[in-house]
Amino acid sequence: MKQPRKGRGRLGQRIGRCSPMGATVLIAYVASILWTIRISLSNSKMLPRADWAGMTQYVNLFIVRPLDHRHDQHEPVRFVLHRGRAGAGIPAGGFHRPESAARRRLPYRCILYSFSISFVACGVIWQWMFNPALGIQRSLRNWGWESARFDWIATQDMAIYCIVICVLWHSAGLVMAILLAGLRGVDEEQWKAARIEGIPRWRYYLSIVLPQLGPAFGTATVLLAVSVVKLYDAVVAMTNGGPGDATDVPTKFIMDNLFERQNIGLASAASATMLVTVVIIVAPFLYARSRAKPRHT
Amino acid sequence: MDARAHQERDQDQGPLLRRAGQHPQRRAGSAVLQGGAWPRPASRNPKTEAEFWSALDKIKASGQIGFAQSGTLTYERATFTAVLLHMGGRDLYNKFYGDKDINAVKSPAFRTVLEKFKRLQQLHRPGRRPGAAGTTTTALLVTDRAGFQTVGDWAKGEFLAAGKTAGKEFGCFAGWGPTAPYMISGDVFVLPKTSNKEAMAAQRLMAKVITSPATQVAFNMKKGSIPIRPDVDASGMDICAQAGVIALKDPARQTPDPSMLMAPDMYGKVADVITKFWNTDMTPEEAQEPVGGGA
Repeated sequence: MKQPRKGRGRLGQRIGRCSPMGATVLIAYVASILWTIRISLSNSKMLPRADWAGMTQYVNLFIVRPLDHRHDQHEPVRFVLHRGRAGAGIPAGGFHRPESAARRRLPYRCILYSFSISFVACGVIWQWMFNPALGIQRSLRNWGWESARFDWIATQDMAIYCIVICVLWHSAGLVMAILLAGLRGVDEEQWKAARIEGIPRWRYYLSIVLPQLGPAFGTATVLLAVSVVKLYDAVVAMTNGGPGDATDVPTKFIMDNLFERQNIGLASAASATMLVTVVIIVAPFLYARSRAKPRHT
Repeated sequence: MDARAHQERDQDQGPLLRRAGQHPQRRAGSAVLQGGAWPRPASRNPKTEAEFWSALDKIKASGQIGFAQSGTLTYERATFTAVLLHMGGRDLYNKFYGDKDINAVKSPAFRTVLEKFKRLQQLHRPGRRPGAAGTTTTALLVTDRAGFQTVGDWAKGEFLAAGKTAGKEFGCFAGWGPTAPYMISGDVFVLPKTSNKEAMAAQRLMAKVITSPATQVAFNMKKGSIPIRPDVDASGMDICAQAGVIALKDPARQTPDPSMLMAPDMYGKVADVITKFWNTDMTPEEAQEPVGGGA
């Protein structure tokens, strides 16, 4: 009970202290969220309209549109997508050797920087590799394996996994960076102590290091989960939602309706729904963190 | 001097041109052409639907891609529109895009259109390319690996850049025969409103220059579309553009592009079904219902 009030007080203080930042937050975030919600309650088509339509847009979004297969199709896949990506960081732990902190730097640096490539560039590169006429399939055939076949990206069922692979590769670097930072926070004295006790390495990692990485895992999971919800650029660069609607994502639905299809009301309703999704993902994490705090202080 | 808008029809005209659509563009490349299965384009454009299908089958039998289709939604929709207009007929086209007539969608004629659309997909399958842009698809025709594509005249630039000549290595046709409907769309230049006398004079001059017959012909020869005005000397243009100029002179052939008839929202919903139908095992019967729902 006390916790949130204190938090709010601190937030107020902070906003007071740096008012340009406070103004930015208010206008760019809070105001535009409210504006979007307002528009989602109107009949806006190409331009925002000030009328009230109640929940019509939301009803359209969820019930009336039998045409949009977008929302029901890939839930399991999306689940895999984001679980898979959270798992992507684990290899970073494998690279970690507590006894050789100085030696480990260089090779990882290359891996970590995949995150610095834009999603669009990353998507285009992977699209080339997956493209049967240009990439892996073509190379295999040119090397003599004439019947090689790797056309996932052109098929309904597998195209989404091409996106998963691209995005996995892209965010692996970020997750590794977060986990490496977590690993570096683990006191190496513990490793020495464990050695003296004769504890095997796997046991050391499992029982001593892993529990200390909880916050790092939490951060990585939330970041990845949110990035799955807002996934857009990689899809546009790789498949643009196709073939058919195989790789359609909610953000693309929003962008299509916002611009090309001139249905701002529906796009706003979808955006508001997406905000709720993100809050659902982030809220437990924030709650857990706020609960955990007293222990540290 | 209010907002001055000058319509530039130079962009793309109907079947021959953009919005893609109507215009199966055809190559007469070595493999098919010299094999005798598919003689010279200028003289032997398919004049009927039956000729078109038999040409496609022959190309496919020769191991080439009969019909090259870009993997983007816009082009899939364009091909569907072309099939609807030229195989379903103008009445059905107007009923569907113009009147949003649900009964037209439910009709057997519409189902036939969907079936034919799907048949093109079968001819396209061996060469399918993921999310291929229009240009990469056109490249299949330029390099003699595919027979036909539905595209706007802007694609002509790809052929010209490769040193090909309309009427020789490739051809184009807008539907079957000299009375086929010709789908028209265009782009518009809008000049900002101003009270500055000099700027107004400059705008007027610009409008005058870009719409003058000489500019129109010169520009469209490069770009690949057709002039916005009928009173031009098209004799220097290639056969594709000339066919377009002739078609445009006949009001009976002019057909509006679907984007002029349907609200973008609805147009998008129809496209969702079209792309799903093209890319999955959806049957024509299954597609009819949601297309009707969209309209």
